[in-house]
Amino acid sequence: MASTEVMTINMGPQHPSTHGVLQLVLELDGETVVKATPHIGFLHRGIEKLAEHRTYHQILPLTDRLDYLAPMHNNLGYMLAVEKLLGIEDQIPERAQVVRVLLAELTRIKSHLVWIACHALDIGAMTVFIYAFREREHIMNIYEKISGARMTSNYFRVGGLSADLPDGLEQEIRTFVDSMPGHIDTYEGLLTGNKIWQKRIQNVGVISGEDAIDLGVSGPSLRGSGVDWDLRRDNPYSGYENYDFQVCVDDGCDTWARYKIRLLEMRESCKIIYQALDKLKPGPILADCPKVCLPPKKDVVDSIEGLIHHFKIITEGFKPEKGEVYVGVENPKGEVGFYLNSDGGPRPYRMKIRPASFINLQALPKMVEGSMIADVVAVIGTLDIVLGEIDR
Amino acid sequence: MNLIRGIKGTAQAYWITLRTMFRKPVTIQYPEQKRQPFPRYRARIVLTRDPDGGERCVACYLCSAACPVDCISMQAAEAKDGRRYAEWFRINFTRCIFCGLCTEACPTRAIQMTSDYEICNRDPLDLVYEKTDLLIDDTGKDPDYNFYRHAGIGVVNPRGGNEDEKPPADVRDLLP
Ligand code: SF4
Ligand code: SF4
Repeated sequence: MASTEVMTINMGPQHPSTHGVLQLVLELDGETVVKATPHIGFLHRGIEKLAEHRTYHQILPLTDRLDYLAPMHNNLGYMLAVEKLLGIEDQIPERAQVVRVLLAELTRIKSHLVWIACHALDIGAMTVFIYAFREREHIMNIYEKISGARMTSNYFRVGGLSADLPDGLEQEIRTFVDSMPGHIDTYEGLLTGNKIWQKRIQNVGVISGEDAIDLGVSGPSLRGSGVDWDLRRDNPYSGYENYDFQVCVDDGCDTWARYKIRLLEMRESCKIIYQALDKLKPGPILADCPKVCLPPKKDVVDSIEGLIHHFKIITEGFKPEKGEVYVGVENPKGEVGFYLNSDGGPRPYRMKIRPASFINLQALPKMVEGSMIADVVAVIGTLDIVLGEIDR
Repeated sequence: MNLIRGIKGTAQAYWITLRTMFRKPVTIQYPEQKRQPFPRYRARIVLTRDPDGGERCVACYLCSAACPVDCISMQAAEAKDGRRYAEWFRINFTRCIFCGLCTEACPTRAIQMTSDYEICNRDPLDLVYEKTDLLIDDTGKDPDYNFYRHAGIGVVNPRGGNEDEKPPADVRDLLP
């Protein structure tokens, strides 16, 4: 008589489909997952603690390294938090706002491209991976032209932007966005009708709307469970209230629903980018707050007043009043929030990050327990986690 | 019906792959082929010179104050003509995160980022660049700028002799 016992295996931290250094301890009964326990922290860099010893300007490059697939969104969330702390959120010039939205949406496409690439690759459809990275390369080039880096952008500044868009870039973005719907059709052509793909993701990783809310899930993973919640519409920032876009919701609650939502979101992002490009008018890119924003480089090198301001801001930083703020933005993966607590000094007394992936990962055990071990890979892919953000 | 849909889904995917086979590849064969990054690219840092060939850096420590990872260190010194310079200047590229804040902070446009991204190395200590490794014989991105033609003590021109400067005030004149 065969005896049955639960077998424990480690998935990761060295595993290609855990999207980084995530370790899952799986307890298996045959091929059925009885219990899944994520072990995290392999990529912990202590960004929240590091922030306590840096001026507000110096923290910005650290935020690039949270969700490194969507760095501009982290920059944006952090900038909005600092601006709110300083009380200058109404003084951000129009052009800066529009460029922020433009780049945020470009980043959303970029992040979703990595998602579809890796999700498909994990399940065995390698072609999509290569095609999606080809498109992502275009966005990386645009990133590089704007900010000087392909991933760690460090482009936004308190009060606006660090530099204006280079000449001719608007046309390039337009050309890229023009081509994007065709590319999305390609991905859909490769995947949507494919029987294997359907079988692998339909009714896999099911989580109900209530459970998703209870676990704090946000972003496309939440909207895939039929919860109509998007911070861009429900708590607008950076002028999102002036754009016309659809929040994609699907009540399928499974991986298939989340797959459809993310593809639709890319199309919606294209729409927002067109609107932003139309709104883009020449104008200042930095708020008129000489105690906070670095003066233009021309003033620094040519005038003594500019130079003095420049020295003061770089060596001392600026000192927001005592207080605390929390700002959340709709990152491609969910709500990313920054909580800043100032004690009146030039450095935050405490910075707390609400990472989207970290909280979405909480839903993983719920989604995989009771299903087959092969589905675990699909569920990790559909949650679209980034370990840089989980471990901070 | 189901079968037809299944066949169509698979055939369509093959068709897309087949179509793409006749497109021009977008990859480049690194390292035989190298990609030239765009002008704003942030990679290896250099110290530039002004158009007259003098060192631009005045050892003001702003770059090292701005650096979020504290990887720039230097020692200031003063030449006979009163010109400040860095006696030694060190950037530890094992720590540098290429954020560009030092370039933004530099008031004399001395420290600049180049597009040379190939600085990997087998020995981390070789990545600690000294001033001799950093200083180049070039003016970099702002070729005409010379700090001493706009401000500072009379190194290039006598005090107050620059175009955009007022002559120095005679303090005794200001007495009531
Ligand atoms: S690029 Fe950033 S990390 Fe590197 S030396 Fe400059 S300020 Fe420091
Ligand atoms: S490189 Fe620029 S910022 Fe750094 S010490 Fe020299 S002059 Fe100052």
